[in-house]
Amino acid sequence: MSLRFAARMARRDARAGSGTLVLCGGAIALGVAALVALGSFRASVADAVARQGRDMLGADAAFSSRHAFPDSVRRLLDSLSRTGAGVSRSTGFPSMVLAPGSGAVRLLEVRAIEGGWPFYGEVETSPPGAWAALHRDTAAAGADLLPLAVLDPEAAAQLSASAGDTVTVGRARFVVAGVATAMPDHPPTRVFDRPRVYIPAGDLASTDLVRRGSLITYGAYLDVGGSGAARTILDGHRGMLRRAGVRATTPAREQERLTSGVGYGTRFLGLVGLAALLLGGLGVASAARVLAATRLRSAALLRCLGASRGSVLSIFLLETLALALVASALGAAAGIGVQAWLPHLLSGLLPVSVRFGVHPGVVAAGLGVGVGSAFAFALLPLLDVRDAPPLAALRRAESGVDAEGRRRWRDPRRWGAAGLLAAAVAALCVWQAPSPLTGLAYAGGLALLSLLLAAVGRGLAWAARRFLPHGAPYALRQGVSNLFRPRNQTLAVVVALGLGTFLIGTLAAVESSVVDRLRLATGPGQPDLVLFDIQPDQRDSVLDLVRRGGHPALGATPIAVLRIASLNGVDAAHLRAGEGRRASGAAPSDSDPAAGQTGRRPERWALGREYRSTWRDSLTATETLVAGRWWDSAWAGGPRPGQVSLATGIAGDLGVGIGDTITWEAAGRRLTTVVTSLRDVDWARPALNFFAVFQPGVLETVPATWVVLTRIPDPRARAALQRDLVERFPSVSAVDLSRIEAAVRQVVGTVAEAVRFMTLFSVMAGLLILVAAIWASRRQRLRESVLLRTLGARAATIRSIHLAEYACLGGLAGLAGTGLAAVAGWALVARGFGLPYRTPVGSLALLWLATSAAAVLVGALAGGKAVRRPPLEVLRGLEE
Amino acid sequence: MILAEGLVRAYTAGGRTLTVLSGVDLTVAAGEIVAIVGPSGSGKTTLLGLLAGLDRPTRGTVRLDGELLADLDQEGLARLRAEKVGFVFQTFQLLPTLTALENVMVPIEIATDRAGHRGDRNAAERRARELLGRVGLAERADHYPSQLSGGEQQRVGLARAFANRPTILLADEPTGNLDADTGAEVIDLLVELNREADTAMVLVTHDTELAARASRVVRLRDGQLAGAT
Repeated sequence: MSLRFAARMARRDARAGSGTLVLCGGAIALGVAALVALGSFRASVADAVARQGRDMLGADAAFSSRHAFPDSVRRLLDSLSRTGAGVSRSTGFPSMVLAPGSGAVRLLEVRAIEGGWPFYGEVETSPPGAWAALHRDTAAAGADLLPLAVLDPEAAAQLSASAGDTVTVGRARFVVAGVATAMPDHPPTRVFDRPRVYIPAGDLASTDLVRRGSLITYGAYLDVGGSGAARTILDGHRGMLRRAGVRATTPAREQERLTSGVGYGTRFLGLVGLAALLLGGLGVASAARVLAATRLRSAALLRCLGASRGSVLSIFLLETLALALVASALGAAAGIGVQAWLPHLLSGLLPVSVRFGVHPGVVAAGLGVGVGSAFAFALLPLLDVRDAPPLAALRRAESGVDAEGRRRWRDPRRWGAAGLLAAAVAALCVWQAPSPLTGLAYAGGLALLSLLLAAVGRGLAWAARRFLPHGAPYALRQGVSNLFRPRNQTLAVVVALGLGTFLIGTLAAVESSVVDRLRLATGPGQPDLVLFDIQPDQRDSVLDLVRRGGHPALGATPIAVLRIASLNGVDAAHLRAGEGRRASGAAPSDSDPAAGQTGRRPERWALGREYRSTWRDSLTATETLVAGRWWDSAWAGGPRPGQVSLATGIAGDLGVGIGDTITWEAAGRRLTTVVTSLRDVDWARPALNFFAVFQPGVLETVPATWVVLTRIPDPRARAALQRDLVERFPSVSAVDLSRIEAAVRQVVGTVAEAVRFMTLFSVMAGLLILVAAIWASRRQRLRESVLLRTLGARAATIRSIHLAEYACLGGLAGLAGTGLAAVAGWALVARGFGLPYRTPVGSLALLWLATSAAAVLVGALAGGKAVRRPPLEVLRGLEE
Repeated sequence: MILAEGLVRAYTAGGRTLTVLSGVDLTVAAGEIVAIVGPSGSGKTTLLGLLAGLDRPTRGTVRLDGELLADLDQEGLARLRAEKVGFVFQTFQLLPTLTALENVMVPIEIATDRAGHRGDRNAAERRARELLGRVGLAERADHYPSQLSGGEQQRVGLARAFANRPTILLADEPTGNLDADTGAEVIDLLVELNREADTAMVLVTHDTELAARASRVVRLRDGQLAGAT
């Protein structure tokens, strides 16, 4: 068999045009557009990140640590410096910054950089030269001159400050030299990034903010002559850096981190877009079934004339694939255009400025996926034409032609085609998903959803036949009967509309619950201002300041910084090495003292992290005791160390349970505690939550800072308190929770908008399939309608028949889609995010009405021809 | 050219067996026209289907141009039809999406495809146009079946049946859907073309005028031969 004959015949058959197939091709185009748009966008981000290269860090490598570098790291930096490498050091910390000119006060990231950074890339400022001026020796310039500062654009906007204005950081005042419009190491402003203010390293001490307990990040930038040398240095000192608690990174690692983050997010969006493609696939399968049914007699004739089964199948398969190719090409072109829209949609969440770009690999993949999915979906229904019995050509026109149905389900080719379809869908989902497991879960969920909707469709047809009352009005009986009559499209319409409704409904359900949660977390009675980094000797004065302003002090909480020294008497360093062995596959032994009550080995990250902990005598509203007793006065576990309560998650990661002992290290002192209770903590609420809470009397001797919460609904009063605070207690910082809420709202809103945008593709695909399904049965419907008109039926009766049919279809598809969306919303919100779930009844009811109305509208438009034109004209048209 | 011996065709449905043909023998020589006549349900079309290899007999054998059909699988039967058999149908059976010219070219293209070479498309088109001219439809070559009358469609069907120069022609009620005058024109054409091509022809018909033009008439009744003239 050659494909030439099949191709020629396919071209000829396509001239007649299959409207259904063309419409379903439109659905494929939408799916391809969604995937190409996201794929191109992902590639553009990767390009942008790669283009920035070393400029991303402004150095070949960078170190950072929450502690001053120990001697080992300092020696390394000194030796590199001696060998001619560029070494630049930085100190950064969050601090309140006041702009006296505007009166604005904000929590910003203060950065002091000494040395030649950036080694790669440029700092661009407005006015130019501000960065160089920052590094001039202010002492040499004159004692009466204020030191300079450079703001990033967001900091300048928040402080309403510009070049020449003054800003106060701690106890020091700076003149703004300029605003940095481009800065290596600092991508365009993101929602959760603290805006930065850069000050000279020599003036850091004058702020009086670098003191014990401050949240300082120490950093170093290296210029060692290229990425190869940087890698060698990092590889050679990996152990030492890890022991010193120093994080080391290179531009390559930063690029990978950024691109994988964006890749992960866009792949989730891709799954939403993929639904459009799979809907298109279902539509193609449905259209192929119609094509096979209408071409079965032609196929039988070709077989009778001697064409091979393969040739006959190839004709219709090629016709379908050619259409899918054209649709995919149009979809890819649309996707390239849509890509330009995505950076606007995701503004604030992107780590780099993304340029529009056409990526041939992405376009080729889009074409391949479009054509491949059409092939996978069309093959099974088109096998009918392959099996068209040649004897049917001898039968009379009025007798039907059926593929060799009895043997259909024993045909291994059909099982092969079904297997290919399942494999193709699974592969597509895995390819597009952030992880194979997510992809498979998505494919499984989608298959289950389709089966449920198909069951609803079948159930509707069955119920229509079973329960249709004989005494019902004629139009209603006719309309409802159309749901189960031969060649009905009930199944296709219910699945397509139901899936589209489900996607929109699920998004609405999740979004409304998340937004509800935000409102609850920052609602009346909840604190909206957090004052932190309060030294013990400042606590009473700060509380006094708050109360004097007429504001409530909603609690003062001490916070001490600790690390784990040992678990059940086994040194943490030893355990961290052991965790490494476990990761390499060795099982813990039964007698291993490190394996606590749970028998689990501790995770390395949980052993090495810093614990900011508090002590108190009662649980808070966000905590629930799930094991043990809260400060058990009758605790009899050997010698009496202090008691500690752990959050369940961290207890699991540490592999400890009730009765296990933990020795902590704080400011050079060691404290041994016993775990006497476990708590479930609602981390989703912005309250002061802790992994470890100590019994009062254990931590009091450890250096601690305090946090004070207050609620000041009036934004001006809130700003005034922050100004007073900065002036009187420069080292104390404040977080305005309303700003965090606004930022979270912005992120939730942006993500929801992006998901909604991608959902739009699926909804449009669903509507196209609805139109295609109506188109597929239009001749039959027209013939019936015209016959009824000829027999004297009124136009209103014909319209009522269509109304009844499509109201049933749309109503039930909408009901199934919204009902399943409510269940999926609950599963995602309550089970997935652990948030309370509230079904958005109003939104879902509106969605149900919209779905029903869309179905009725499309049905009415399709049926309009039968009532507008004379019956004979329509019948002649049908015969042609 | 055609040799059928002891043909039996029975169908089983719902546990009951219905025998449509029982023990039919038939021989057709090259250039001979054999008409099969009989009442509805006598097994005429079933016999034609078995002779064409479109169906398998329950018992008995069929040889077409020396090839035993029982030895051939479905693809082998399709090849044989493509190379040696032409068909004329009662309902014309033109492909609705193809023009008259393309419909006539189809058997040539199928045979070329089977032979696995490109074939001379111009030659195929020349042959199709020549045949359309022969049946008086040269001017209607680019019309679709829906734009042709019943008689014209059947004339396209005749042209298609002879396109591949078959050695055997099977015709199922070729005038069954045509009025008397048109039917007579089609009969003249069919016999003329058959004579020119020296084809062995089996035709199933109710049409006594057509049967009268056959070399031999075979009567079927209740699935058995009821006589021959």
